[in-house]
Amino acid sequence: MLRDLDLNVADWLARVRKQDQDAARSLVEYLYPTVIRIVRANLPRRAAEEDLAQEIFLKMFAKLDQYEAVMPLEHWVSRIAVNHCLNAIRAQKARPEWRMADLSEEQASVLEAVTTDGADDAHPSPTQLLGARELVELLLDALGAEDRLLIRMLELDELSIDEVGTITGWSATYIRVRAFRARRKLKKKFAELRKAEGL
Amino acid sequence: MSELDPELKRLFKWSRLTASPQSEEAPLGFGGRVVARRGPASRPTLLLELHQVAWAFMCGSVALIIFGMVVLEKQGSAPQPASEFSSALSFLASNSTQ
Repeated sequence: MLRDLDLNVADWLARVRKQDQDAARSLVEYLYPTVIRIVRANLPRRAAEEDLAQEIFLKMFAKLDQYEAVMPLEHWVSRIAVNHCLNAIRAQKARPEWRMADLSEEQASVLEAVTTDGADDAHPSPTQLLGARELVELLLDALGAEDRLLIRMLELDELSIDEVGTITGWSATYIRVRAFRARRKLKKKFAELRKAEGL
Repeated sequence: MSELDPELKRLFKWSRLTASPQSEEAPLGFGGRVVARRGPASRPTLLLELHQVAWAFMCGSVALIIFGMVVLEKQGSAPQPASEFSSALSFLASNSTQ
């Protein structure tokens, strides 16, 4: 069934528009990986990823009549997902104040390890890797919704500017300018973190 | 384009190594739940259903009225049965002689 969708999206969408429940269910399952990747990367605090994914699919169905196949369906849906996640992040209450003193012992040791000369040759332990992940999340949390999204896509997922443009619908120029500012903010936050830890 | 500091780059590199591949398959029943929440777009609302019932009721009423009028019309224009005339005449005749 999913292969059929690959073969002819237009026919499949026509079935969905005619209230074919099986076609709608298959469409959701086909697009789920695209949506859940974006949701997981941009999940607001205390939000359940499945709830957010459901909201995105409901929005997709509500806007389905507006889809004109000028771009692949996955790209169209990923833009809906990105905008929905950004709005959800913006709508959440203000981020808790970022406090350096809140670093756990493990996070502090990771911070020290990554700033040590010769750390490139080091083989971090699984605990250190986990600590690094937590530190990155802490740093990303200090950024705005769009900056966080961009840094995550460019630095964590290692996507190209073209790929980010495809997913978000933003122009390459906008992405470059935004990424430049986001990296600057990130570096500033990282410097604050190091200073607070005396590194 | 601004690059990240080597230390930050290293932190992100270590962070990437922790990314465990999570399942990207839709959970069992997810598609069904979404479709159920979505509901059919052309699902009749209560107002629409009432409208349809009222319309059907009105059509039925008009049909009944027309049918009644036709029946009355037929009854009004139909010739009286001869037996009824003769019985009436005989009734009048018997009464007038008395």
